Amino acid sequence: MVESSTRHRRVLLQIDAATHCEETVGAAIDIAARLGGELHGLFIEDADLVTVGDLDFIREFRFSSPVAHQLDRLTLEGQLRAMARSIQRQLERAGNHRKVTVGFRAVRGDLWRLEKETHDDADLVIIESTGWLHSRNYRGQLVTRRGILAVKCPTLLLKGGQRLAPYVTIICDSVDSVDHGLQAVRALLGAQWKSITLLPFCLSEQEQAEILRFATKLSEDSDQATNENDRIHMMDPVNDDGNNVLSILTPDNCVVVMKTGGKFMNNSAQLEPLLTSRHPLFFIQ
Amino acid sequence: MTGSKALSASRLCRKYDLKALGFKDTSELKDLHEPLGQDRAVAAIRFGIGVRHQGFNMFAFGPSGSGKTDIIRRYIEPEAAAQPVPDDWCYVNNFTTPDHPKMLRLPAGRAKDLAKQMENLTAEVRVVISAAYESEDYRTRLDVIVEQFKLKQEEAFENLQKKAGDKNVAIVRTPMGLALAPSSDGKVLNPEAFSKLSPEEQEQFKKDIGELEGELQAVVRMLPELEREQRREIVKLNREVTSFTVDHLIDEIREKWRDCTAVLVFFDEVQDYIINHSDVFRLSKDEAVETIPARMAADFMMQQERVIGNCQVNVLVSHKVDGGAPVVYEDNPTVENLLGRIEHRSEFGSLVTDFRLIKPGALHRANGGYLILDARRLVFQPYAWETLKRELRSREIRVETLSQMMSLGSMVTLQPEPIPLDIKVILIGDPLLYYMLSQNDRDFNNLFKVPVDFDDRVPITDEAISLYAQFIATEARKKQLMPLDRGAVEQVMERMTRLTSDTERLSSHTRSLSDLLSEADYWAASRSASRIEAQDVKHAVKAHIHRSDRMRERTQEQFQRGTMMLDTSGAKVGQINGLSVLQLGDFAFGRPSRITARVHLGRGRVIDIEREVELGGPLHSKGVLILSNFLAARYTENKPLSLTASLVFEQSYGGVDGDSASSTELYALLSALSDVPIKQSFAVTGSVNQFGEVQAIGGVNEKIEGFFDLCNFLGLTGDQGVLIPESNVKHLMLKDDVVEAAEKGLFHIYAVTNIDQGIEILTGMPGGEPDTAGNYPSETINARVKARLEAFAEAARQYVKSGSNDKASGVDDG
Repeated sequence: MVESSTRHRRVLLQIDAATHCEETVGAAIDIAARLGGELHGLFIEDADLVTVGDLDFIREFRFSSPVAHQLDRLTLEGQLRAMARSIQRQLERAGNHRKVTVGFRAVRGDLWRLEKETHDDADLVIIESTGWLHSRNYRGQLVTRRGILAVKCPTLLLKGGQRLAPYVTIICDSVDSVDHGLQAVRALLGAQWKSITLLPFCLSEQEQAEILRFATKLSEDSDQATNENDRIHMMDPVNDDGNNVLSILTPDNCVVVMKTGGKFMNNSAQLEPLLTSRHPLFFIQ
Repeated sequence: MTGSKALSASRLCRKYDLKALGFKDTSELKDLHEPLGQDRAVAAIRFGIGVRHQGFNMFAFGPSGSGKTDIIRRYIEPEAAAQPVPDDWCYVNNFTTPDHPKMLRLPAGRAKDLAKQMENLTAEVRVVISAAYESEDYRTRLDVIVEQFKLKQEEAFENLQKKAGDKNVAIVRTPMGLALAPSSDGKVLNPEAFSKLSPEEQEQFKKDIGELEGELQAVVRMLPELEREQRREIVKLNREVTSFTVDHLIDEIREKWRDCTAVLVFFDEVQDYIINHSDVFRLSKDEAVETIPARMAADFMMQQERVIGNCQVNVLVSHKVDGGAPVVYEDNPTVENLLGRIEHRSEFGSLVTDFRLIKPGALHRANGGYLILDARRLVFQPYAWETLKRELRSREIRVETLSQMMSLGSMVTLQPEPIPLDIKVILIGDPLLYYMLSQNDRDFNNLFKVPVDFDDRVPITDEAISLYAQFIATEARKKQLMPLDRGAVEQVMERMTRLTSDTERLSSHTRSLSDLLSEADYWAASRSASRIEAQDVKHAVKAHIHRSDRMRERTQEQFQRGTMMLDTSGAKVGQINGLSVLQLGDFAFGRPSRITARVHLGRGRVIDIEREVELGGPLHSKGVLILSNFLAARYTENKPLSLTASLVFEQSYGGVDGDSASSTELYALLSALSDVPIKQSFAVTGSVNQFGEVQAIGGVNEKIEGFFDLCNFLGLTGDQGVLIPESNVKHLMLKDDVVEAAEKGLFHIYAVTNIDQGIEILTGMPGGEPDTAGNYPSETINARVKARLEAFAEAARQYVKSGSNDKASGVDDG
């Protein structure tokens, strides 16, 4: 039940035209290859970006050029198309190399969000964020609690163009969150037992004991968990008025898993720093 | 008279009797350790080995097959084994100028250790560097640098963002850079919304954006510098991590090479090189194939191989610690085989090379020892001789290709550092080559100062005979042949004496002896004998001759069938049987020829028809010219020689050379002048001088046997025989058939010292001794010749007196 299923899986990679970085493509291909599934690239052209091209007094400051360039719609369209083609090639090359079926589509604005089949059908949605200030417009969808609650399938938010670390911390704000979290990270991220850490958050002693029993049973049932070191780790519990979760997460690039709609989500003091941190976030329902 | 002058059969061949040596077969004889009859050569070899000064290289010369190489090796190898082992030589990468590889000199036997250690080091370095870059510590430190960079960026952008936000200006990331745009509530205003703003608001936006653009530009311009700084920091980190990882690995092997400064310098260079190229060690081959596109992976792997290869050691020559000085024989002395070569390999269609592809030559292998070369092969190989001389002169080995030497082609190649050369070269060749080089090559005498002259014959003494028996025994054992009984040894010696054509010499020609023994062994084996007997040796000699004498038989057949005209009985004026030797490969045989002479009035010329038609060689012409002077001086001292004589080898269609027929021609002339017939049962050989003395010639045995065979074929009459010079008697080693015929009085060998003796035997008429007035007794050959020549002189005088000068000139042609 927690072991990964062999069924065909579909990974959706949302690529922001303004924030694209190669490492995200690499991470997405890795995940799709491990799952034995297919990867769909969705190249999203930000509506604001297109609007900029319509204003006749806007100038662009390119990273590769010391002078300012007049930015018009035509130039912008050309740049976006070129970039889309470049990413498509990149995906196809990586897909060929890793034997992953790759699809690609470019969309503009937020219209794609209305296409139910686009992401409801996905087993995993991967969103990238380079951490640049000027890309926050796009990531804004996932920086509010409401935005996060709107996601309907497991969603992985990658940040800062980093490689995906093998360490996972599951925030356990309910017994369900542990069960779902473990299933998701094992099946989708391929995490090993010894790389998984459980962080109890605002749980009663009874719930904590139940989680401990659950985790121990899982570890013992697994063939891999032959000794203490190969089992799931359990951190000291954190309460509402306790430490900031961000400050106790190790390593500092571990993937943080949280269940949407749980207690942790309702605690903006804990959630906000995590959203803007370097940790990749994995939202499950 | 003639019968009393015939040589006895015992003088026709030397027979050996080895009873006194007291052995039954050669298994009882000890090995001969010193080469037989090569005292001069051995002394020269010993001197050549001992003297270590420059230029005292050796040139060993002597007949082919005389065992020069074996003898030289026999003396050099023990000497070399006792000498110190030379150093090992390697080439390593020159890290500053890779096309000039550096040489590395190491104590004997340690080069391979170094190469192995460097191979292990690079393999280990690959693993540890890869692990170091994978370590958490490195990743953290790298992340710190990256984050610092990002923080600096963000800091710069945060300020700008804040300022822009205060003025409702959004910073928008475009695919290629950044732009500033008016916004409201975090959303960029579209043109329609912007146009609805009041003109003042629009102007204010444009003004604010204009001001912010300056700051944005400053931030953007700062980015490349920040990135450079970040790269520098990362490089610094990489060097630090690599250095930490690599240092202790190199230090470990450095300890083992404390005594070799050059190696320590090399280690320092390798250390720097690895640190500077640590990037290529970060990925293993498998990781590269998995993580980067195939073509880039191939490039990466090639680069990795190159960097790893550059840290390795190309062992050019490595010696065993207890091996002594090397003795190398190079069978094919081309330039490349002497100097070594620089090979190339193909990379994506281009030929490339590096120090690892430098291959050693014979000079490298023999450096510090001895190099033996075949001189003839050396001089026949393009540029090989000049190259060897150059290396010996400069005393260093420069690995160069022929195209480099000749400045041909432009292929990428190397110029390796020259290696000091300390070598003794021994050239082995034939005497002709030695003397030619000595005379025509001005470098030769400076570089090859020790001639090693091999002899192929041994003077026969009692001691020499004893040693020769040992020599035969040694050769038989060396070739794992059956032992020879005493009779066989005697036969072998007879044969070896015959090969020298001298009854006072034995041939020390090793190959001939060895071949004879092998053949005799074969015949002995074919009759299931356990040792070689005299009959086997005789059989071997006969079979050997039989294999080669088809042409001789063909010649005999031509005489028998009358195609070639030659009389072996009767007597004729102006006609005589001469003898010549035909050499076909290693087989020589005698061939009789009819020589005729005609005389008539003329102006004192003896015409050699062979010379007139350019079939006569210079020596033959010399012999004929002597005749006219002999005639003039002996018979017409006070009168002009007024004859013209013509001499010809009848039915000779090839070239004739040598003066061995000059006495024969003189006999024919005397017969023609005296009008006394010559017995055709005789054949004659020998050269003559201006005083009528008969001189020694070569090939006497073959010549006698050639005439004997013909006579034997046509039937021996008891009158037949051959006239030879007295001085050739000591060369007689005739075959058994001739000796037997002589014993029975069926065939005769006459030895003469002058023409008068010879003409008496040939004509039965004495030559005649002159009296005090210079007159010869009547009815002698000389008297008849003199009278005839005087008659010619008188006729010529009368003719000149009565006729005009014009007619007199016609006499010349007559």
